[in-house]
Amino acid sequence: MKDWNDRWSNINKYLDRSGPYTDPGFKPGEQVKSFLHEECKVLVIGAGGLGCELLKNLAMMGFKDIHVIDMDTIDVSNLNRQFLFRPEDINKSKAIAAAEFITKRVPGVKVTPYFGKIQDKDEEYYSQFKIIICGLDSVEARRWINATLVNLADMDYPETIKPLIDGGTEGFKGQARVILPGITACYECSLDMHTKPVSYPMCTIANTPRIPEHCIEYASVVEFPKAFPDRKVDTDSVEDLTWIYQCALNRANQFNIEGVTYQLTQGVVKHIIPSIASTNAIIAAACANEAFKIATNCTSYLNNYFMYMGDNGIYTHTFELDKKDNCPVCGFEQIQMTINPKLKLKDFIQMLMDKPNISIKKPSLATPSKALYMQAPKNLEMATRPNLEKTLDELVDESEEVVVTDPSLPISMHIGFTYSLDEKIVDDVVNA
Amino acid sequence: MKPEINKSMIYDRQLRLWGDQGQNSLETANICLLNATVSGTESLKNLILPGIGKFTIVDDKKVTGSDVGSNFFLTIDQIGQSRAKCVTELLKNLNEFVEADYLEKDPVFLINENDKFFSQFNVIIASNMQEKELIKLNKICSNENIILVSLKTNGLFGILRSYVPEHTIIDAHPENVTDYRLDRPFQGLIDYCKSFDFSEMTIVEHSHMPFIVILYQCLEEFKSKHDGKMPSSYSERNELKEIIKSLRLNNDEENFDEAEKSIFKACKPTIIPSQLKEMFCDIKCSNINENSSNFWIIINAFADFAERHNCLPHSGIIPDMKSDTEKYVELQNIYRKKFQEDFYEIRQKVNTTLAQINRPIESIKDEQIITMIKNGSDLRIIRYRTLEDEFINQPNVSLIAQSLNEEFNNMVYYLLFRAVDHFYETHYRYPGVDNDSLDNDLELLKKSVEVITSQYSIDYSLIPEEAMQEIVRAGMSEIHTVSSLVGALVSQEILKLVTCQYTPMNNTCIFNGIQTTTTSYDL
Repeated sequence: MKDWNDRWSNINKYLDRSGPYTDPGFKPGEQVKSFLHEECKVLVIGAGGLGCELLKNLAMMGFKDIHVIDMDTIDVSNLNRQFLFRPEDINKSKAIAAAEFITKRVPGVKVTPYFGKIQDKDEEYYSQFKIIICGLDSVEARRWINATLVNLADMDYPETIKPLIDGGTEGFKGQARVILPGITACYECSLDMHTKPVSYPMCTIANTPRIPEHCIEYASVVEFPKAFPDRKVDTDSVEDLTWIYQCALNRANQFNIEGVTYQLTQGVVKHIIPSIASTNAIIAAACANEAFKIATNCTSYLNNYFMYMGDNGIYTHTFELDKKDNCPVCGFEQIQMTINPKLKLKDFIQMLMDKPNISIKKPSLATPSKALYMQAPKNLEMATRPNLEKTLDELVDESEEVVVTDPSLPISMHIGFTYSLDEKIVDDVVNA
Repeated sequence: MKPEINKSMIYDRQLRLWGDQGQNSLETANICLLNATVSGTESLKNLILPGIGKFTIVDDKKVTGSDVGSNFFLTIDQIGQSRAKCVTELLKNLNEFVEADYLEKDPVFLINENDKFFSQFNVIIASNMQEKELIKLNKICSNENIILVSLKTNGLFGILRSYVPEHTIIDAHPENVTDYRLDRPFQGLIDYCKSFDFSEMTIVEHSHMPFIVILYQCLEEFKSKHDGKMPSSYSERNELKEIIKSLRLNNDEENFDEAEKSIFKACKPTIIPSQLKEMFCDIKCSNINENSSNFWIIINAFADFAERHNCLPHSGIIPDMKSDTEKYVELQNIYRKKFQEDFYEIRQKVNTTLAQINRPIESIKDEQIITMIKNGSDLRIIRYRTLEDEFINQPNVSLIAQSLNEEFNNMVYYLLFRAVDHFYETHYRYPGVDNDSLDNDLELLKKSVEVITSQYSIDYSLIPEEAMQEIVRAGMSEIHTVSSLVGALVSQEILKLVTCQYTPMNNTCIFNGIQTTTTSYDL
């Protein structure tokens, strides 16, 4: 369809005029406008709190070919912020419902939904987009898309470098960042900036519970598996949560602990992050604003991190995050670790899982000459399992490089050891 | 089948932030938006979703093609119709629990001719209004005790300004507040801590003794050697640390780790924070009368309590710590009992006051007192400066001049927003709107900038020409992302102001969408 009169009169102030802070390569006029409206295909990952805002913002900023991926369905608790959904949409696909709403509301904008996981798509799929914008609530998904886009980037072919704009919120706080894969700091470079999820030591929840969270955790990680050995907790099931709540309440009463409620049970078991419309709107608008500036080059864009804190005044911090030379995704250097050679391989693996800058779920380890421990396939896992009980110096020479991979992440980490008998051996915390 | 839904399910994710008390306040909010600009519309969206009581849009304009191009809550078939009506219709679909209304009137007319209109609201969002009218509106809000937030966007730049005659924060949600009272232990705590003998414990008991007990006993030992005084210097705190270390059985005792880590906090004397002392001296605290708010009646009771005990009532809250269940629960109950006693004293005083001013006791609920006791050391009042003071009576010249000398600052854009207003007052149009007069507008804008800078006796050359060019380029356009962002900042400030929770910005914030920065100023 043809655009109506004055439709783009607002953004055209920037696209028809050059400015003092504009890149010298910027040429105002028809070319940049037609690129924005006709050619600049973008992908939004996540159609939740940030995703709904992002889709609205991108559509209103002149992007007309937008794709959106989300594997979730709409829940009643989404309605306080995910404004493209209505009560009658509950249980529908977020991606499909959001795409329908935008396509209907904003003429000439086509939103193509995919109801599924980002891991379902391959490099060729991601190659078709000019910019990818993430509104996710999961660290794992972010790491996956980040690593995928870094792998895709070939410095000799600029079109393979797909700018990744990532937003995240929690309560009154949030951040927006621009990642140019291979050029700027990537998501993995800053993995240790994230606060680790709260975890409770197993001995506390089992023997000396003190706060309601301890009772809930015990009910969900100890008593539930005992009662239902053949299945996991379904965190979306009211029955399961009610069972855990009752169980936690009994335990709390037994220990004279106050404060176990159904709401708290939900919060602890589902790891609920409080979320409100306004914070999502701030962060999504910041992300979409960068997308517009990157797509049109009409002015400089964020380099490369914007942090927002709204719980105490309006405080923001804009800064450049440094790329890490030993980043397992975008760096070239080994990660150096000083380690006790008498550490057992299984404890070393646990350490890798716990370390905030590594934090991988199912590590497989190998040296250039042999497999140390492989998660899959099954026969290799069986064959390498005895190594778990061996100490590092039995398996690896100090000069050898250990390569760590994870089947759920397209990354590989190169670790170099320095052996030292002074290093601590045990670090025994159970993750909640 | 439509699943059964209710408010607490829809609002779950926000109730985890501000609770039922905050939600109740939000649901009494009656908000008026002046001018359905994109930013104004977006700010309402983020307030309707969490469930304010009612909103009313005042706007006399007709929908244009340009409006539909940048406002998500307008559609192409509405061009030519009332903008107030059309935006209201699409916004009210967002939440069936929110009441909606609109008025097709020019806000300027209402401000000048019918100021009584505004007294029905408790929040006004003034979008894209001129300084002259904002000053008048501010006076109305000051008389009627209305929250006023004004906002403006110009291309990639935005500004918001809050005004409340007197804002009270009853729950700032601070992180890690601790109040152990180890410098002035109360009887229950003393009796409990004294009842243990570390030399006669099993290893398990020893390693599960709450660190508060450890600290208490070690402090007693320290004080016995220092004329009963608490450690007050680095070396004295180290001495205490050595006492704690000497009590250890081994290096694995986590409760002893906690005790050592808590030395600094535990040795800090229990004080009445300065902002509370100021409140206690406030005329509103000492002079309680029929018009006093619940907040001041409770503060008055706090002052009375502080006079007698030289401290604030205890919150009854202690953090989780390494301990066995029994001792932790016992210790928790000791602090809770202290809280109960303090609460009782405050409640009595409040009741006496209420009787004196002929108000029913139920007019202040227990929950309100409890919330204020739990957040005692973080209670605050903010009295915002008026726009008349900012613009005319007492401009904050030193802050402006000082900010202009800083390397990355957005003060330049504050002055440019003012200059653009001056441009409009002078030429009845905005700079940069028309492609044909960009150069001319830049020259005229420079004149306006000169006027504004001379008002503050600021050197005109401190305003870079590039910034002025950028403002002419912006041409008063409504860039959706910037409008959405600035509108959302406004929503968030209103949430904080209405719930009296968290700490609102005081009083002006500039957003720079080129550099992606914000700066807040108390102007």
